[in-house]
Amino acid sequence: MKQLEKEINVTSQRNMMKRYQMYGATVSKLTDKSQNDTKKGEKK
Amino acid sequence: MEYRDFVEQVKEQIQDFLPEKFADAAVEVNQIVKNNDCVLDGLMVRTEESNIAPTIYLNPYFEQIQDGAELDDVLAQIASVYQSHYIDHDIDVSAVTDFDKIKEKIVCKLINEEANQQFLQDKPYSKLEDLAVVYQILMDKTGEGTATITITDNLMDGYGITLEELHDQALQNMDTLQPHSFKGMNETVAEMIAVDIAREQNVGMDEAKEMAMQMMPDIPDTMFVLTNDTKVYGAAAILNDDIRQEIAEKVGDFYMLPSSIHETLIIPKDAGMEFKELEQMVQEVNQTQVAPGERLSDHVYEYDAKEHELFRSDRAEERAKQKEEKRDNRHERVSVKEKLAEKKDAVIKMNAGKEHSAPEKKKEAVI
Repeated sequence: MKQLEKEINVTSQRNMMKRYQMYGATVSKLTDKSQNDTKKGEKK
Repeated sequence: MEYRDFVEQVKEQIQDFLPEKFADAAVEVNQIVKNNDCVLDGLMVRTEESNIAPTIYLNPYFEQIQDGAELDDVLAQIASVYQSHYIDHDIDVSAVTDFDKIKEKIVCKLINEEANQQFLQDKPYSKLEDLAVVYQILMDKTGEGTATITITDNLMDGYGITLEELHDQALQNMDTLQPHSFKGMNETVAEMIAVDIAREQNVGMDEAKEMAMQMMPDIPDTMFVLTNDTKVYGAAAILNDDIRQEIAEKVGDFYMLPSSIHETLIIPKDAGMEFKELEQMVQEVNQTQVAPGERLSDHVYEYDAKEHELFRSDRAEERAKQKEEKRDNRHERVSVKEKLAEKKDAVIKMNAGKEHSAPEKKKEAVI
């Protein structure tokens, strides 16, 4: 009978956490920047 | 330990970590082209009693060795994953080759088209911008991951269906087979930390979550994670327009960041971030934090809820122009039609005064 193969797919929690942390930190900076820009705009 | 030594050790010792009946099994490690044309080492343990063998990729397990894990612990983990997906009897091959038998098990996987030229060579796929959608048969899933068979051109030929039908079927199955998860980044990270806390400190999940929330880094609540229930190949959830609409109802039009093939990140457009900044961030994270085999794209995408369209943000202007041109063309076509209709009316009026000789023919001639 024909032999079949199935792939086992897993994710790495460690890798996931690494990318989430960097996204979190960068978006945090971008949000602050965006808020500061808005405040400057309001002052003008 | 070097990676090659690790592979050899696994090959030699894995049977010691499996039950007695695997003592006579054939152990192989094959190099297989996977996502982004990365070649991974797939471990297969074939037995006489079963015609379907799970392939376990060893590369991610080596990371644990690099992090200081003991080889025996990693081998025990591989053996446990193997057994959880092992089937102890022959399966009917038509369970894979007969479309009627597999149609309710078809799922999609979202990958990058350009980076997968070799992988895509023998597979049917659909395109969305610079991304490719491939299709898999979901054989089973456990808490540790999923087991799939990728649909190749050979299998597709036997199914006797179109690519559109395959795609529609995969989308239809999404809610049942891989229900989506849409959560704030804070909540997602807290849950991941809580699992570790619960295990290490032997406390309940609720308590662990509370502790995790206190340890949380400051992540703005303008970022959401879209994935599926197993978090494996969860980026494909963005293909479902019902899910996109559901998200848009919550956050409005949004940017989609291709965090990896396992998930996408959603940022509302009204959060005030520029797509160029977001694109730079995606590229930096891809380069430094995402394994080459798990990268999805270096571009940012956005969703127009009114038009039900997901497109690359760097093509937004081009898309707007094309839409305008289409509108103009449509307008022109309408004008020509109106002029023709006016002429037609004039001819009919002229003919109305004459004798009724073959009016239908004249009508056709004018048109």
